[in-house]
Amino acid sequence: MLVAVALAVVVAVVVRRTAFGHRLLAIGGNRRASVLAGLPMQRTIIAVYTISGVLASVAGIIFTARLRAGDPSCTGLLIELTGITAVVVGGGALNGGQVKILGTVVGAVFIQLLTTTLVSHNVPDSGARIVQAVIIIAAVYTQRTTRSGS
Amino acid sequence: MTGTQDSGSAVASPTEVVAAPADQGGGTAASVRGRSATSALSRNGAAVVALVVVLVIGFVTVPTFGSVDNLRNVAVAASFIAISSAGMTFVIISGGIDLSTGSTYGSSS
Repeated sequence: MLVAVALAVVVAVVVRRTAFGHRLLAIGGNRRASVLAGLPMQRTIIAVYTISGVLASVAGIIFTARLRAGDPSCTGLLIELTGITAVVVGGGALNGGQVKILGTVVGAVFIQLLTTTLVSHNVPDSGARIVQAVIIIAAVYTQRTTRSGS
Repeated sequence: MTGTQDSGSAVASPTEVVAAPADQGGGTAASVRGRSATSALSRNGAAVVALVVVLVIGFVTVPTFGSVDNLRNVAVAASFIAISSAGMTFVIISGGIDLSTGSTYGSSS
């Protein structure tokens, strides 16, 4: 949990304060324009996916450490969708170029809380996933609306 | 739910969106706020509103919801999602999407 809070702060600082973060936002906002402006596209994209993989594995390692057991075939199953939901609920645009770090954290807690509440109501886990999917669709729809409206 | 949001997107009248019934707490709140102001604070506010809605539902419907143990468990379980979605945030703001997160998560365990 502390690791998560620390990482959220680090991510926020990186995105808001460093050149790398601004490069990311530029690439997400308009990829063609950033390439024409001379940003190192390939290097940035590779770095981004590497960071994502490293953080995912950190989460997996901590999870295993807590559980004291590992099962590669079902441990991280579909957690990428949960992560996407957390980001989208937090207000990050799926087309890129927009980010809310605090929103991502709030989204993560929100998703977990929702799943826990549903499970404690004897709704099966698959039911909770359906709710998650509905939330993704609703969030994407909302984003599309706000983008075309503004 | 889809119908109300559809009407909001077709006609740019804020009153119609506000008048939409709050059947889907998070989604409706997000659309209303996103329309009135797209600043960072208000977008975060939408997520917070959704969170508070679920919190209230949990407190009302689940008797042991407010116990320290439960809240701590939720926080710990959410931290795994938060860590992996911190990486996912990078990918999404660069305009991509990373579907390998789950597999990496699993194979690192």
